[in-house]
Amino acid sequence: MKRLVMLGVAACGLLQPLHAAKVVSVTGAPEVLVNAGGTWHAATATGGMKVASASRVRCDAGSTASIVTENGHKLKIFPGSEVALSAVDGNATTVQVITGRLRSWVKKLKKHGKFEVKTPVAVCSVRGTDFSVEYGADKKARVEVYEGMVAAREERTGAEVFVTPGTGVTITQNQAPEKPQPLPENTGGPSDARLPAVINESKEEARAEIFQELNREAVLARSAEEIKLAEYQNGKALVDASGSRVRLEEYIVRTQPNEFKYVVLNTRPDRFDFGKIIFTFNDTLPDDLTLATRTMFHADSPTRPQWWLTDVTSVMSNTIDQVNEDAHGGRMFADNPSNPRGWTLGFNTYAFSVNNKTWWSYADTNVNGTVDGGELSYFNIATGNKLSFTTDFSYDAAAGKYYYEDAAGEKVYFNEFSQPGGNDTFHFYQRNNYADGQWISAEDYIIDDNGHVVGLSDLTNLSSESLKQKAYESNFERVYACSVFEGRTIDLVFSAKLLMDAGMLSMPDLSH
Amino acid sequence: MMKKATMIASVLALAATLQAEMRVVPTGNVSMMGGQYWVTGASPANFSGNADVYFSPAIIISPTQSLLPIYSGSYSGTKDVRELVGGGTLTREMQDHALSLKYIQKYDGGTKFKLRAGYKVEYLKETVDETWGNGLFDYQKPIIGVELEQAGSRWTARLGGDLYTMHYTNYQSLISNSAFEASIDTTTYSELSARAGEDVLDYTGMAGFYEMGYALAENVQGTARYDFIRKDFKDENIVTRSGEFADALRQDTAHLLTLSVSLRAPKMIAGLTNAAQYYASNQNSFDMANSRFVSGYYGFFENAFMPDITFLLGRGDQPVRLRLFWEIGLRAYFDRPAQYADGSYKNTKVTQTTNTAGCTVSYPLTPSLSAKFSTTYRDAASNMRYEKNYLYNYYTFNYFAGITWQL
Repeated sequence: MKRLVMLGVAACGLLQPLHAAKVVSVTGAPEVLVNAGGTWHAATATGGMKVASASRVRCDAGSTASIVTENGHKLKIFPGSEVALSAVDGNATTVQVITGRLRSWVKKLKKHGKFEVKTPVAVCSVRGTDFSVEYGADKKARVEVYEGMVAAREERTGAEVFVTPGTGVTITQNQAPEKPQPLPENTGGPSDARLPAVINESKEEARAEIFQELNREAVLARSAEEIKLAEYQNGKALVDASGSRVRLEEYIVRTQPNEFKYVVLNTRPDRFDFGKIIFTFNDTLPDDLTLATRTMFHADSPTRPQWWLTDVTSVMSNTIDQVNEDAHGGRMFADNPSNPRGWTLGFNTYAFSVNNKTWWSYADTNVNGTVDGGELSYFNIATGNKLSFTTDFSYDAAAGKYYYEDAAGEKVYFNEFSQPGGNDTFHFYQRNNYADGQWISAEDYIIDDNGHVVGLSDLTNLSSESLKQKAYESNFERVYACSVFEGRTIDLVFSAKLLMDAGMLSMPDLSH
Repeated sequence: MMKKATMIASVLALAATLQAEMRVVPTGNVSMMGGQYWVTGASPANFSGNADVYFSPAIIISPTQSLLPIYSGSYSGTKDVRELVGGGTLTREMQDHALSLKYIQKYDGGTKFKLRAGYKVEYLKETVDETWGNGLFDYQKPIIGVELEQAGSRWTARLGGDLYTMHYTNYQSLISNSAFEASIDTTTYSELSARAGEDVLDYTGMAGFYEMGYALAENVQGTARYDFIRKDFKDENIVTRSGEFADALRQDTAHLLTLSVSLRAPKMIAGLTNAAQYYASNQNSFDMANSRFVSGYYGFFENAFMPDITFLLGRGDQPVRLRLFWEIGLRAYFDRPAQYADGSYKNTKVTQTTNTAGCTVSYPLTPSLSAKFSTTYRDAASNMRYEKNYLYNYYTFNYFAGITWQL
């Protein structure tokens, strides 16, 4: 029986190898080599990982490890260091600094106790001391003492110096150590030894705190990004044809039960423009405006739509000049009164005005919803008189256009049209020359959100559906210039879709 | 007189004590990278640089007190693939600067109490006419925060909260511009300005978090983190069904839950991270182009799952680090309807999936200097086909090379 107990004790001894030290804290990914020639394993403080004599511990540039021996000595292995725990059991503790830096807090030793830190060039023996030993690529050992006293001996010469608190010495191979010098500021001093371990790891701790700070900041920054994301998704931030920022805000205000007001505001760094359209309907509008707007100009149905426009008034302005369009007396006309298939809106009157003066107008005197001869009127802004194409203009049969002659006798055509960017780009220029040097021009661009002017090459080979999609994805930019604007322009960017759905804008038919 | 002298002596003695114990530990990091990025349908962006820096002269006041003045800043001349790719702009440069002061008080038993205050500015140039300081989305953010940390034998828990304000210095609603006030007719101006607000993007934020790290095994670490953010907009009124503005102001809340686990092996670190976000807002939207009211336009749920692995190659003290990661993300809007390419609405809600894969190699040149190369690819697919305002379907790719120096 006694033998069995002895065997049991022996077995326990085999299963429980001698462990004289344990890992108490780590940062980064330090590693432990238990047996020479074996493999390195991750060092962890979880549960106080045991490390026996003859083990090695190494820390890469981002790691540290702290180890406490059975006798209560504490070792801190710094980043970029490797140490061999030659002996960490019993009273004798010997640690070899292979490379890098080791700091040691040595408890008071028992009788015959020993604590040594070795490097290839120096041996440091101590009692009740806090000190560090560093051995680097320059083959020199650096010893710094913060508390207690260290005897530092150069191996070959055997010469020894005592390093006192607050001093340090660098030991070079084959040379007797020089007299220790006071430690520079901030590298630790007598008071340093009294700081808790976490303070001694101040650099790593500061770095960890900074990372926490940056991580918290990143969470808030991502949350702020959502706000900007939504502005882009809503199309409120655009770029115009010149690459400049355009901000576009659109508002709808229901001013009357049968009326809504659409307002678009544009700003660029150097200018402001706005547009306003008041849509008045024949009936009270529903909550869902699309029910009314989809039929406000045209409806393909045998029955007259429930909602249509009776009045539209609009203004486009650069906050100084303005262009107004006013249409009244809207009604729906059937394509075939006896068997209607579709209904189209026609206005009784229409006027186009610039800075509160009417330049041309229309009156549907025969109330048939179409423009007939004699229903259009053009005016001389200077006199207010109605222009006569018979007396105020001549007809150029070759050009097929009306013109008047300016003071130099040059022909000035009433209508001008061109594509300044070439026939391939959707940049259109129209100009009407009235009398006596009075004119107004409208330049139209179709651009995408990045300010690229859409060209025919962008539309070639597109199906009609894709063409429609392209149009819906585009913005419409209109630039008015006029003889009475004194060099200013009105320059407004709209979302094209509302205008297209409202019949106010259409893409050219490429098949023609 | 005697009393005064005693007080001065006490203060001097305290100062002397503090000075004797106080020390400054500078720490910092500088990263400079150059590279390019590509995005669907666009030419490669010009070669440009990114730089990140942080610096802190950490002041160790005493064994239980420390103070960290921290500067962090960055400059970015090109986009990261996870940034706002969909809102692509012609040019883009960003710089931000943050100064903060963090006070840490330690107590027995592994408890830490932290206070922080900071100020951050961010400047953006997104178009050719924007210059530093007048970018549309420039912002300023003062912040104060508090945190409690408790460490146990196998775990560390942190609980914290922040209060901050976001002020977009150059973003005001257009209707608040005096040029419009003077030129739009009085009736329309008063109709619009009544509730359209002025600083419509500005908000006060309250953020809280709780994080728990736990050693699941000797070489396995698990972390769970919950973040809560509430934004109270100071000047953005709720959009009503008729497209007008109500009296109520916008409020957003975000809840984020991040779970991660990492495994350390001698030559490798492997991790799995899952981040889920629930974002809610009482704000709606009115689609002017389609005259359509979209309730709860901003609310979404998002989940991102990311496995990653880092190989440690070569010397143990200065290994070459090779990191590979892949992230699959899904964002589903609760109420925002998807649209066809022509802008008409579908019956389904907007969803978007993203795949992101990346590789980073860090090669140590000295203990504090590393050469770094990274490349990332991302593609995004969505049922949202109306892309006039924002690109929902795209792929993008970037590469960067540079150096990182650690103080």
